[in-house]
Amino acid sequence: MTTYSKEVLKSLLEGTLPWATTKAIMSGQKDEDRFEKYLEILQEKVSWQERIVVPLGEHLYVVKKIVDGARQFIIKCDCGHEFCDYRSNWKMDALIYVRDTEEKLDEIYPGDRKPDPNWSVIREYYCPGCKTQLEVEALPPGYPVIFDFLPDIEGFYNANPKLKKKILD
Amino acid sequence: MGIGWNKKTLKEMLGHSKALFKETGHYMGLKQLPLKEGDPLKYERLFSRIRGAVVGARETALHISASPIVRELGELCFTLYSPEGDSLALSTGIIVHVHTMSEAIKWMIENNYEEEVGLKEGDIFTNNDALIGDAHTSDVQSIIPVFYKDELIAWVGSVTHVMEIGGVDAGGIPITTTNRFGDGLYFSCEKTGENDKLYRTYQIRADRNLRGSTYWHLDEKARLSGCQIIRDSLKTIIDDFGVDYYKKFIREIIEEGRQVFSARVRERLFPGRYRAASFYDKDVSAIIPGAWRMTHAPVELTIGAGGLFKLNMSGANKWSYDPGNSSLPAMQAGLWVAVTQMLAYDGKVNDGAYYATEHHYPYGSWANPDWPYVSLSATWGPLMITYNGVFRCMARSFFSRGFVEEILTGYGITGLIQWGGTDQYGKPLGGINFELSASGSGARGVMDGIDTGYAMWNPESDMGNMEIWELAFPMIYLGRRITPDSGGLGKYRGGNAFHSIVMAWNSNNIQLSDGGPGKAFNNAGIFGGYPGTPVLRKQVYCQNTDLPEIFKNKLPYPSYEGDPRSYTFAKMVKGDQHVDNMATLFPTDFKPYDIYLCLWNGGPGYGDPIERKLELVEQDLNNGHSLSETAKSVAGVVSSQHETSGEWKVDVMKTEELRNRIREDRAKRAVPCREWWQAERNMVMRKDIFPPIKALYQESMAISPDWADEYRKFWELPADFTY
Repeated sequence: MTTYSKEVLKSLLEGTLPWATTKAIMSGQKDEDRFEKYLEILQEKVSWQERIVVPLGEHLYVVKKIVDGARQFIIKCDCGHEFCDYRSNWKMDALIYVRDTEEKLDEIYPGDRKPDPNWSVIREYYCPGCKTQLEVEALPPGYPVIFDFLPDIEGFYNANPKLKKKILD
Repeated sequence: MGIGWNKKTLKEMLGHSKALFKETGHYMGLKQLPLKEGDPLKYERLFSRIRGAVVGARETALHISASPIVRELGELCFTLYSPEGDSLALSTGIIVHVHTMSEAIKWMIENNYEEEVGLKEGDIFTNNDALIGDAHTSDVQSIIPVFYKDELIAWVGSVTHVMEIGGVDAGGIPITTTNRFGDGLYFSCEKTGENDKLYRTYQIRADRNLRGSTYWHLDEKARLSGCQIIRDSLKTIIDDFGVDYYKKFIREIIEEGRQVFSARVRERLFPGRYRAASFYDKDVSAIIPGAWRMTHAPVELTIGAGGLFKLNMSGANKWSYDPGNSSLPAMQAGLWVAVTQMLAYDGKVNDGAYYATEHHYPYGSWANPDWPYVSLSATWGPLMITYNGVFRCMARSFFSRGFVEEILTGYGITGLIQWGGTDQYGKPLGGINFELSASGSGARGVMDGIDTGYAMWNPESDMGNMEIWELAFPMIYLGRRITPDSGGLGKYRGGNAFHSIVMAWNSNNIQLSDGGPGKAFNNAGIFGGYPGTPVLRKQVYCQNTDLPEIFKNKLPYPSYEGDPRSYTFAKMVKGDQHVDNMATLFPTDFKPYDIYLCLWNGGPGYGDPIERKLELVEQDLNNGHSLSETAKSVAGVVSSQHETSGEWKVDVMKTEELRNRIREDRAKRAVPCREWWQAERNMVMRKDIFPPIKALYQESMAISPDWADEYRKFWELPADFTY
């Protein structure tokens, strides 16, 4: 079975692994224990205690939280800010800044490199806690906020019973 | 008595195959792989022989005879099919067509070619009909049946992207066509030769209906010779392994492809529902002066814990009277080329991957038009944006599973520069400059995207040598250079695009056209990364220039775009300057010494730009990949340039201060999303939306009631709300 040390995977995640090693990981058989080690690495990076269940993005996680004795899966930023139940779109609980004028777009796309804001605007979503830019949408005005990913937590963990016991139970 | 196996007709064989798959969910009902399990070395040896035959044929054929597109950039591929038309092995190259030709072969079988047209060894069929099985008219396929003794044992297919197709305007991809009748010559699985020889009448048709047929004939020879090489190799292989073994093998290899794909889904993707939306604005002023519309490509990707991979495009808007529509076979092929790059990319890939996926493309939309005469010339526009969304969905999925090295956020899409008129040799001219085959890729999960080296539709992308294009068209390159910040900025940036400045040359009858989107973004980043710049934005060119004087006096001439706010290059030359607010240049007369700025598209970014490593920013500044102004305003990096050496240095302390200030500024300027939602909803209720966007929503809601329900639900609109 292919496996990598946590140190190697940590370097991979941080983008510091040499290209030759990264390429070998890309081209080789995948390591079956990747997800488990991945969660361990991510868990060690955060200061809070809730168990990470699904990594959602560079700073966002679905975590297991016990509230009044009941298990909940909520979305949490690595800064500690808690958004919402994982079945809701966390963006609706974020801060938003919309670049919908030429002037606002010009900061990112100078001169003629920008789109026409009548056709396409930039929506930037920030964490209310740490103000990290968590997502950027490029959509026409009036387009619903996109619900990027609704994980099937039960489906995934039911197919991986050992992990389920360790992470969910 | 049929020509298929055991005296069956091909139609019977295809019907049997479909019924078995429907009944069992396994290709040909195979739940086990007895040959592979019994003697894996023999099984793998046979696959390697077949794979070697198709790959070897491609490499040989493109050196026998081919146009610059095919020879320089490898715009061809070869595939071996089962008698029912399922691919079992493919060469490298434009592998999207592995599945389009599968559809074409099945169409011939279902349309009873066996009895009504006749199929025998040495027959040649030509197809470029995307409603049957292709992407667009300029992708021309040669398909031959292969017989072993008295049975049809296989089909071999080949495709090349041709330089010219005889459409309403010059080049392989007519951009002013409004329907099928302007797309160029159509060959609908037409029998074009027998006894391994093309009909003379077919060749005359090419000679008399194309703007120059030399490249057409060269490509035709490449396709046919490759098909024949594979046919001959296959017969030797069957002799070596025995026909009974071969027949069982081809069933297993496709089922194995299906099983491997599903296993990859289970191994690498996180189950759940993913969504993305992409857009492609289109200039339709060829029909209605000044009119534009926008293609809407929403994707919902469902990944099942058991290996389900289902794509739903509910919400795609209507097809239109312009070349930017697609067809069902092209959409299916696009899905195939996407998944074979992102998941099933090793050598053993075939139509098994196609059998492992499900899809829905709404009937009546641009992805599945309900008008048989719809134009499909520029199919790749909407195809590319669609699978940009799919790549984003898969990138999120890889991230959730921890396979960050597999993340690719998408890619820059391609415009198209085409030449017409009379070439520098005095011959009729129609051709497309395939330097377009080298956009920026999207950022990866662990590093920046690939600069100037990615095309979604040809994994072996290459811009080609300038000197080859100068031989093909009446023009000279004045320069090519990286376009700074054309890739979307982020913790990892999208691959940058390049731009070229070309000068018309050596002909007094030159028409130039360029088509692409420019009003809207065509890709999007993930996790806080920005999209790459729109493709064309504006048309920038200069006519009646003073370049003869500049050359005579050996003065500096324009060789790169320069600052996007002032077009440095335009200041270096006098003449009739055009910076036109249009993304499409309809065929326009150019004279020698007129110059044109060719712009290509960068890929989308990944992650918050203010988390970008300082050494990467410094490297970008020193390599001309980024402007210091955007490094400051977007990545929060303060830098300065050494007066004499010109080297850029990042100021670490000031950068830290600026990045902290950017976070503070974000807090000041942003509002809670629910507050913004209320204001945006009011705008939606008033229907105070730019007319082409309003039309997009109206069409999407009319074609897909489920998408309309979601739209109303999100904005809490009345049940009868419509645009």
